[in-house]
Amino acid sequence: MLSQFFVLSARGDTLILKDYRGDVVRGTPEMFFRKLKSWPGGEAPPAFNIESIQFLYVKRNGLLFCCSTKFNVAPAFVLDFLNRVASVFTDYCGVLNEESLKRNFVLVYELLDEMLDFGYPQGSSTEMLKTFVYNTPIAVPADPTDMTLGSAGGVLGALSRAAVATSAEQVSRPATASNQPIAVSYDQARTRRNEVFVDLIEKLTVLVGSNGAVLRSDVDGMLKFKSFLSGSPTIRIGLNDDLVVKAHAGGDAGGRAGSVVLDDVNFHESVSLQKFEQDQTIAFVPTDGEVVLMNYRLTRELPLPFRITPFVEQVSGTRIDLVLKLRCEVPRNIAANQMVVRIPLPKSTNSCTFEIAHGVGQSAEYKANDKTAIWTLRRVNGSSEQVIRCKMFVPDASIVPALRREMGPISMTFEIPMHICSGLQIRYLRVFEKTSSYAPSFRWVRVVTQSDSYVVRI
Amino acid sequence: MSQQHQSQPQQQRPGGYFVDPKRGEVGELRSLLRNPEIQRDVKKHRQAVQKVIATMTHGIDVSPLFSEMIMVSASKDITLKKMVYLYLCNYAESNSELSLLVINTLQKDCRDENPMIRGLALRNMCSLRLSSLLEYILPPLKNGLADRSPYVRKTAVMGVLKVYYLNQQAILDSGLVSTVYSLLTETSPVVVVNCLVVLNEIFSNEGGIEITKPLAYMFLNRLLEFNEWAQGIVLDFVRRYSPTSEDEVYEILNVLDSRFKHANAGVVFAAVNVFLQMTDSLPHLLDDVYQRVKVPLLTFMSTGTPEMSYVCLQHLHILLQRRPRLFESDIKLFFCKHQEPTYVKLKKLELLTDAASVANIQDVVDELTAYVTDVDVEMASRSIAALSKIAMRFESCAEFCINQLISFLELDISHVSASTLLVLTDVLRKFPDRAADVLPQLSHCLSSVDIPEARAAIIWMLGEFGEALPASPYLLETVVENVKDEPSHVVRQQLLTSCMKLFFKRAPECQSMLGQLLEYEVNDETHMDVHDRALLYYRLLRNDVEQAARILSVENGAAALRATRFAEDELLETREKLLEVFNSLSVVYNQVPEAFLSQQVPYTQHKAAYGERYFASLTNSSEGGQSTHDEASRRVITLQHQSSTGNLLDVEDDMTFGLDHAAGDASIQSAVPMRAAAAAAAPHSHSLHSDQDLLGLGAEVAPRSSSVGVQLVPNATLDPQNFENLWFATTNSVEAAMTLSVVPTMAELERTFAANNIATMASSEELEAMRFYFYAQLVTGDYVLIEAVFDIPSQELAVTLKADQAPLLGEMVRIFKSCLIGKFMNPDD
Repeated sequence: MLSQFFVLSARGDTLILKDYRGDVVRGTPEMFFRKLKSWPGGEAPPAFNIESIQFLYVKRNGLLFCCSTKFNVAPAFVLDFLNRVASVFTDYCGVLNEESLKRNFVLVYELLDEMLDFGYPQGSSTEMLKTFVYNTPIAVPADPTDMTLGSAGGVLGALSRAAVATSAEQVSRPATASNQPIAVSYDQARTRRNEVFVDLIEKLTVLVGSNGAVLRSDVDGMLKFKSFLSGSPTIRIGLNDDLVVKAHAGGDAGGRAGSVVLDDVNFHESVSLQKFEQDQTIAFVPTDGEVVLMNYRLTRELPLPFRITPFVEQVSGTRIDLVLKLRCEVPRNIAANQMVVRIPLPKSTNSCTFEIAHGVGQSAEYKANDKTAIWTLRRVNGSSEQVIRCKMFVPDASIVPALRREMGPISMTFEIPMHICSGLQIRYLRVFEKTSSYAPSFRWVRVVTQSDSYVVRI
Repeated sequence: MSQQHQSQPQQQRPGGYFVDPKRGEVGELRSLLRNPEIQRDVKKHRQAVQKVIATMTHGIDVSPLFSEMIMVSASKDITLKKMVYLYLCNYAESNSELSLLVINTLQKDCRDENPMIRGLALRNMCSLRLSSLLEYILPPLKNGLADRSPYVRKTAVMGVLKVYYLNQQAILDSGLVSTVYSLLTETSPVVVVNCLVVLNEIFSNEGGIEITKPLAYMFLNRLLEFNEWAQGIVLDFVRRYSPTSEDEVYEILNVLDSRFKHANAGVVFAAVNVFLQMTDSLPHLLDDVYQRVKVPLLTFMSTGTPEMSYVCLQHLHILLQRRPRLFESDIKLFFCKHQEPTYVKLKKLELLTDAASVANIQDVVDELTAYVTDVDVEMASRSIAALSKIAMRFESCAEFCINQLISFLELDISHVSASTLLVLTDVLRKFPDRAADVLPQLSHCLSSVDIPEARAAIIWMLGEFGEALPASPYLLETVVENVKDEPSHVVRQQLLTSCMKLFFKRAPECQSMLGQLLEYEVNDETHMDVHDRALLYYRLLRNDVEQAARILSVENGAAALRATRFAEDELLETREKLLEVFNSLSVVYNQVPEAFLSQQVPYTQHKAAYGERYFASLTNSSEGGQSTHDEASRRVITLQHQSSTGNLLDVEDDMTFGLDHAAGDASIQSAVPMRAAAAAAAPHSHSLHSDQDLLGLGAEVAPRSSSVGVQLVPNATLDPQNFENLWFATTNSVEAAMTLSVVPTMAELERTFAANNIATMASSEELEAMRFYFYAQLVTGDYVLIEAVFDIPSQELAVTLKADQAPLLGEMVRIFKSCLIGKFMNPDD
C-alpha cells in the first residue's frame, strides 16, 4: 500500500515525511514537487506517476498532503485518507498550517505511527487515536490574514460564529470558538465547557444564461459537527419532517408540494442509517474532533438569492457601458456578506470607470492586467437593489454584439448567514444524557449559504 | 559489504578529517542527553529528545547520537520511548551493530504489562529493517500473535509481513503464516483486516488468498464491524468472489446497497466495484446497476474536493463508455464551475462531449460555446475541438455547430481563431458544402492570425475550396508576395500545395502567382523539404500538367484519411479494459496497470531495485530536504563502483540482509561523485557535449566487432522487466575500468554501441556522470548485460558485465573496449 506519507509546504519544503515500507528511493518528495511545478498546462491532477512510483496528493490550507506507492491503489480511498489525515491534524493541532505542524511535529509523527502501519490505514478517528497519543498539542494562533471574524455568539437558532470565509477551504476551518485542539488529557477535558458546534453549510452552483434563464442551480450541502462534550451522550438532530431522498426512495419520488427533495445523501459512519430512514433524524454518538455528519446534493429550481440583470449600451464611438442591476432576493432581515462580483471586460478595453452608490460599503476597481472589473460590496441587505455602471473605453464601440460577447461571464462570491436555499432546516438538536448530573451543554448552530460557482452570462 | 556501511561512520564520528559544520549542534545535543540533571526531569528530558528529533527532521545528521538515544529508550516514559523509536527506525540501518543494543530494550518492552508498550515495541522492532536481528524478532512476534490485546495482535500480524520482506524463507519456515491464517476468523476486526492484507501480499503470486464462499459470507456478515478503511479493503476482497447463482448476486448486492450512503469515498467506490464486477456477466441487470451506482459517484463528484471530483469523473467516464446515455439527464452536473482547477474542467469537457445525446445536445453546445471565451487558452481550444467533434457525430446539429464555429472567427481573439481554423479543416472535409460560409471569414483571419498551423489551415482551405470565393487567388497572392518573410516551413509547404490546387481550378488567375512562388522556393534552400516539394511540383508541371492535376487530387484523399482518429480508438479500447480494474489508478491514468507499475507478483523489494537505480540517478541532483537518511549513508559509503555492484550479487546469494541496500546503494553511488566535484564543472562539461554532438555524426562507422568467439545478434530485444530479472539472476560478472580520451555525449556512446549490436536499455545523465544499461544477445540466444558508469571529471568508465556463461565475459569486455577504441579511447589504454 502506501510507501510514504509526506506533507509539503507551498514552497515545496518537506514538513513531515514518514516512510512506511522503504520500497521507494529517497528524495521522492523533491521529485514529486518538481514534477508538480513543471506540469504542462497548469495544475497537476491529484494522481500521477514518475517512473513506477505513484503519487497522490490533496491540497489543504495551502499545504500538500501527499503519498507515494508502488501499488495500483484505489485512488478514492487514498485521497479520502489523505483528507482525513489532514482533518485529524487539524483536530489535534487546532489549526492547520505550516507553523502548527512544525510546532507539533512529534505529535504528528505519533499520529501517523498509529494511523498507518506498513502503509495500511489502521484507523483515523480522532477518538480512537486519543488513546494512543501521548504528546500534548502546542496551540498555534491561526493565520491572522485568514482568521474568521466571530460575531456575537448566540444560542441555538440565533446565528453565531459568522464567518467571512469565501472559499470552501477556509470554511473547513472552524471559526474562532472551535479553533482549539481537542482535549487530550483528562485534566483538559474537565476544564472544558460542554460544547457542540453544528454547521449547516450549503454551497450554491448557479448558472444563468445570457437570456436570463437559469440554466443550472445545484446545492451541495454538508452538516458538520464538532464536539467538546465529555462522556458519550447520544445526539439527535431533527431535520424537516417532509424530507425525501430521491436516490433512496426510487426514481420518481417527487415528494409532496413544498417538501425538500434531496437527490442523494451520505452519512458519517457514526450516524444510524435506520433512524434516518424512520424519521429523518440524525442520531449518533459524537466522537471527538470535527466530523461531517452528512453530505447531500440537490439539483432543482431554487429560489435564487440574487438576480443580476445586465444592460449593454453604446454611449459614443469609443465608449460602451455595462449596467448591472443586482437584486438581493433573500428576506429583509437577512443580508449577504463579503460579496465580490467579477466582470471580465472585452480584451480591447483601454480603461474603465465606474458609477456606484456612495458610502454604503461598496467599491469598484478595474484590473487592467486581466481586463476585469471587480465590484466589492461589504454587505447586501435582503430585498435591496444595487446598481453599477461600468464605462468602458474601447477603440471601436460600434461592434456591440462582439463586445458584448467578450464581456462576462460575471462570477459572484458571497456568503449569506442564516439562510439556506434548499429549505433544509435543523429543527432541533438534542443531547441525551445518561446521567442526570451531566452539565448543561452549549449548542452552537450555524446555517450559511455560500457561493461555490455563481455565474451569470452577459 | 554491509560491514563497510557500519564501520565507516564510527571512524569518522569522533574526530573525523572533515569538519562538520553541524558538529557543534550535535555536540550540544549530546551533552544535553548526557546531563544527569536533565535525565532526572522527565519534562526536560523530553524536550532534549524532542530537539534531537527536530534536528533530524531538518535534515541534519544526528546519527552520532545513536548510543545516547539507546540509553534513553530504557526510560519508563512512553512519550520518550516513542520519540526514541522514531529516531531508531530512522538510523538503525546505518548503525546495525549498535542496533543490537536496542533489541534488549525492545524485547523487554514486548513483555511489558501495558499493551500499548508491547504493541509499540513490536511495531518498531519489525520496522527496523535489519535482517541481522531476525532471530531476536521472531519469538516476540510469535508471542504477539497470541497476545490478549487486539492492538498487539494486529501489530504482530503486520509485523509478519514486514519480516517477510526481510526474509521470506524465515517466515514461511516459522509457521507464522498459518497462525495469521487462523486469526482471519477471530473476533477483533482490526486484527482480521490486517490478516487479510498480510496474506494477500504474501500470496500475491497466486492472486492473494483464495476467496471461498464461507470466507466471503463471513466478511459480508461482519462488514459493519470494520472501520471505514477496513471496509474498503474488505469490499475489495469480496469483489473477487464469484457467486454461484443469480440469487446469490442479488443477496450480496442487497447487503451492500447501504454502503452507498457512506460518506467515505473509499467504501463507496469499493462497493460500486463489487456491483460492477458481480453483474458484468448478467447483461439484463446492467442498466439498473449502472443507474444505481452512478448516483453516489455523482454525489462525490459534486460535493467532494476538486481532487475527488477528478477521480470520480474518470470513473464515470468508464461507465459512460459502456452506457452512452447514462448521463442524459445529469448532463448539467458536468458543466464547469467557476473556480475549478483546470484538470477538472478539461475532464468535464470530455464527459460533456461524450455524454452528449440528441436529448441534451442543445444544452451541451450552448455550454461549450460559452467556454470558448474562457480566459484559459487550453480550455478554449478544447471546447472548440469538442464542438467540431459533436458536429461530426450528430448530423442533426451539425449546421448549428458549424455556425457557432464560424462565429468564433468573428470574435477576433487570436487563439480562438487559430483553434477554430484548425478544427474547421476537419469539419469541411466532412461538410464541404459549408465551405462557402467559411471562406469569406478567411480574409481577416489571414491578417490577424499568426500561429503557423492556423495559417496553414487557412491556406489549405483556400486551396481546397478556393472556387467558392472569388477573392481566394488574391488572398493567396498576398501570402506569396510576402513569402520571403514567412518563417514557417509548414505554411510555405501548404502554400505550395494550395497554389497548385487552385491553379488547376482557376488557372488564369493563379498562373503568375504560382510561377513566382515556384521560382522563389526552388531557389531558396532554407527549408530543404519546401525546396524539394517546389522542385517536385515544378517538374511535374513541366512533364505533364494533366498528370500533375491527378497526383495533387490523390493527395487530398490521403489527407482525408488523416482525419480518422486512430489515437482515440485506441483510448476507447483501453477504457474498455479498464472496467476490469475499476477503482484503481489505471482508471485515473487511462492506462492498463502494466503500463505504469513495475512491481510484479510476488512482491519483493529486490524487484524495485533496478528501476530505482536508474531512477535514482535521474533525481539525485536534488538537495534532499529530508535527507537525514541520505546524508548518513552518503557519508558512510564513499565507495568505488566495484564494491557496490559486488553487493548486488551478495544480495542474491544471501537474501537475509540488505534487501534495501541494493536500492540504497544505487542512489548513493551516483550521488557521491556528484558531491565531490565542484558544481562549476557543469557548464563546462555541458558545452563539451554540444560540441561533440556536432561532430558525432560519424559514429555509425565506428569499428565493427570482429571477434571470433563471441558473435552478437543484430537488433536484439529485451524488455526492462526481463533485464531486471536477468540482472539479479545472473551471478557471473566481471568488472572493468577504462579511461576515455574524450568526453562523449550519451547519444554518441549509445549510437556507437548500437552500431556494434550492443543495445541500450536505459541511460541517464547526471551532473558529472552518465549511467548506462546495455545489453547484447549472443548467437546462442544468451544475453550479456552491461552496466556502465562514466564519471565525467575523471573520464573514467566503470563497467560491470554479466552473463550466464562466465568464459564469454572476458571476450565481451574486449568487444566492449574495441567499440570505444579510436573514437573515444587511445588504443594503448
